[in-house]
Amino acid sequence: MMQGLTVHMSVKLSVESAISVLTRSYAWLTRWRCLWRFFLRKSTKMLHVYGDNLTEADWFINLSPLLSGATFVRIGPRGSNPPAIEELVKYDRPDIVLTVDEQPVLVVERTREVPSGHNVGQRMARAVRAAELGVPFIKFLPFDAKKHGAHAGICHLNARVLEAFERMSILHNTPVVAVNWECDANGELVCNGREDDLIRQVVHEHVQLGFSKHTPLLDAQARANVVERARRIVAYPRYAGMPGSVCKFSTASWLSSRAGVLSALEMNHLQATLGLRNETWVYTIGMRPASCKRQDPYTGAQFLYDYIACRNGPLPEDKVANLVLHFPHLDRRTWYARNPNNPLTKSSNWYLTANALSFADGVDLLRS
Amino acid sequence: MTEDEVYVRAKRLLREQGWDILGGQPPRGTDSLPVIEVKSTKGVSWP
Repeated sequence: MMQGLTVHMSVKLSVESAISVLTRSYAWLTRWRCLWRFFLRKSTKMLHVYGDNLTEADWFINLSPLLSGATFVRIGPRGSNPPAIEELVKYDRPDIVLTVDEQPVLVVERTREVPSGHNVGQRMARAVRAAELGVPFIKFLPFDAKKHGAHAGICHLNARVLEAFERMSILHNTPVVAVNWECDANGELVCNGREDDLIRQVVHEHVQLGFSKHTPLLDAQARANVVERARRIVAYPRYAGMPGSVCKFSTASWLSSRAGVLSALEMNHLQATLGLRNETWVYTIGMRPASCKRQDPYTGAQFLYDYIACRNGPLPEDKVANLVLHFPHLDRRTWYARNPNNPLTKSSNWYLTANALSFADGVDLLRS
Repeated sequence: MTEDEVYVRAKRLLREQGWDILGGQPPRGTDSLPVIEVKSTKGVSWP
């Protein structure tokens, strides 16, 4: 009888201790599983390539074996993207945005066109936005290439683009660089894979070094751009100064020239604001009422002239000289009807950096 | 499947099968392949 009870009790105790061990083991395993998942999540970075175009994203992902796990995500309409992407596409949509755990770490533009003539500043707003947010920016483009068509000939990169990139890199402490897409002796783009050699090295190193803002190759490319700009100014001296549409005035004399369309009150206000800076750069834009609902290439070009001649800090207010956009053929009413400051449209880019807009019938201050 | 997916996959497939692609133009954006243009004597072109 006693023996039976002992056996029964020992069996009961064994079952209880087994349950206890199992429960403790389960709790222990659960705790470790959570920890393991935490470390796994921390060590496995989520790489996304945001863009408008799969062909370009595919090219970019193939630049580095370390990007092989990256997935392509199409940039949606404004308001539908993750917050960090929304911020980056605020002015314009870049070709490629590399994100790590949804944080942008690199922006790349790729084009077969040489920025010369009228389209020099066309994609400048994308570079500006990346620099403002501290994201390195690479523009992969031919520096000298043949343009085909009725007026075929070799086009040369305007050195002002490189100068603006240099200023942006300094003022935002973020590399904004151009990488050359090589051409053959006839000015035709090299398209055998060798053209990617340099950008491949730059991108691979950027990924390899943990997406650091300043990698040896990015910084070397920035220095190479400075040398290239100096070389181009010698080779093409017309790029040394500003184009004919951009002129410097003393602020007092420019305001006097506009006295006929300003009331005394308006003049006093402008003298108290724009008058704080002695010099004013005026970018004259000859759009006519019938064709004034547009941004390209002017809103990009305004950044070129702003960074080269006016800016001395990261904010649009940080200027040594005023920047005025002058529309001699437009009145205010026509302008605001066609180009409102609506943050959901690209027409808001007209209001991003200039100090004032000047029309046939008046001047409106944007910032002092 | 979108147009650019067809373009990228077709390019990959052709290369895997040993074809050399002489030219092409993606539906949007930029590609490294040369664009082949055929022009008539009247100056009309078909990219």
